[in-house]
Amino acid sequence: MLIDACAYLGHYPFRKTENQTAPELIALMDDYGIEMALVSSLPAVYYRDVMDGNRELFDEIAPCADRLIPVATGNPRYPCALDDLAECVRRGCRAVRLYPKQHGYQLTDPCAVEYLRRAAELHIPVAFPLCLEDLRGRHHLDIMYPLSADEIADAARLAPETDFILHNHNNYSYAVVLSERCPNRVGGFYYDIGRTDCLYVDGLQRLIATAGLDHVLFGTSMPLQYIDVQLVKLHYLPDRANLTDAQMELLTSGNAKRLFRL
Amino acid sequence: MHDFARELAFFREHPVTDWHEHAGIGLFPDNGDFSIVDRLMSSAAYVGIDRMVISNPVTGGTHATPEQIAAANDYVGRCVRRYPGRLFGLAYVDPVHGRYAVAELDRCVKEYGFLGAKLYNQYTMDNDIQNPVIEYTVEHDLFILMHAGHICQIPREQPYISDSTHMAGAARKYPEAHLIMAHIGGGGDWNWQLRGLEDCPNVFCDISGSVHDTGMIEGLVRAIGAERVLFGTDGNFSSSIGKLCGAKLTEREKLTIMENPRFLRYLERGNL
Repeated sequence: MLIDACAYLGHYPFRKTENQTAPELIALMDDYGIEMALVSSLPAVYYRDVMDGNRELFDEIAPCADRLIPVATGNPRYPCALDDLAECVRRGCRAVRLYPKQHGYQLTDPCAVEYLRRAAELHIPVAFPLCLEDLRGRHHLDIMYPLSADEIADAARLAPETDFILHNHNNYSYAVVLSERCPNRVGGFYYDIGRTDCLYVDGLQRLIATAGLDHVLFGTSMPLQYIDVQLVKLHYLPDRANLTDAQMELLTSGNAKRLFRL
Repeated sequence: MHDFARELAFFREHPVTDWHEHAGIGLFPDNGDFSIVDRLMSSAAYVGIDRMVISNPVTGGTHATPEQIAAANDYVGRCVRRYPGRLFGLAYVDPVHGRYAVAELDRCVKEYGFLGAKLYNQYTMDNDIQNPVIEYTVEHDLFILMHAGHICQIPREQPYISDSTHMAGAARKYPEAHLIMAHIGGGGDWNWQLRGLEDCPNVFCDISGSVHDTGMIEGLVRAIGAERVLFGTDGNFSSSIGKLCGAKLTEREKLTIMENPRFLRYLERGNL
């Protein structure tokens, strides 16, 4: 069973993409045998009021709520951010994604720390899509650099009970920093496999060794990126990392079920 | 209906050449240590990549000395000799060295059977300082693999990296040259890279790099045709295999990319 921890719906502003609607995404998932996906709104990232995007997402996925699990987009510095987060959780969101660089705040700002702590109180993890696409080719309206591991570590120390998820980056290098700087937290750090390889380069094996297999998630960033890249990894990983079927089940769905309470 | 298992089997069952690879970057002493290239070749065989073309550019924005460059190329030569018929080399040269750069290319071709030149980011491809190297490759029917990208981050760490417009400029100067623009998946704004290549039939492009944005490979084939696209990884096996598997192309187009017939003659000639 495959549960995709990182998927999106809606229009992406910086290049043409396909499969932006819920029916199209469901068809794509059927093609690839993906049972469920944690989806957030791409337009919400770029709306001034992220809640407009969240509400669009709720309407869009209502007919397929058993397959598409909503993830809120949050902006802690906006008015009513905490009330919005509570509404999103009431409406079924199992995580919230934050974009500090796009929204212009520091993760250690008091409003952000309060938001991170509230997420823990609501029993949902906070996810950071470090790059929606590789920033070497950034559009001139896009961010310049992703959130750094040190910025995440600084915030994690102020919100020790919050679970953090890192999406779509060189997650092994982040895992090294976060494990060193933030040992013994109540909350955990979770990482998707999106930009970490397991073949000639063995970053994924190192990520598993550093973060623990129970903290690694299958995530594709569909429809922005080719799903096949992640399936290549799943095909070879049991042999390359000496993982049993039960361990692969954790990576492909079990960890997501536990983290997102599915 | 997309069938990933079938796509991966198709990749494994047909000949594949990786035109953009490295067996490590840097200076390696002649001490009998082949651990990096051995790991590279075993990894390639494991996933179904039959042949690889490697180079050893001296990176970091510096001009290496001719002696350092020769040492880097000799390492590639030793690797190539260890895997005859499976591993092929390109000679890294820095055009700032003028006739010495051409002499180094000539040495590598004659001594090791290298297939062409690897250029890096000291000068853009259309800079006239590149002319002697390009002319040598034309005269000897070789090709050039140019490190390339349209990088949009600031500060610009590679101010003289070649983008597709520079490739096109050189291609217009030398329509008989064979130029590969490196890593569409590792060169920043790939939309820019595609548009700049539309009207220069002697510029090719490899699909290597860690970026696997949807639509990139289909866009590349639409822009220049599969016959000008080459498989490559630049170390990113999953990304490169996966984006080819996932691209909505015909089987014939994928076969062309995996083993481009326009470049087979170089392989047949290589390995002295």
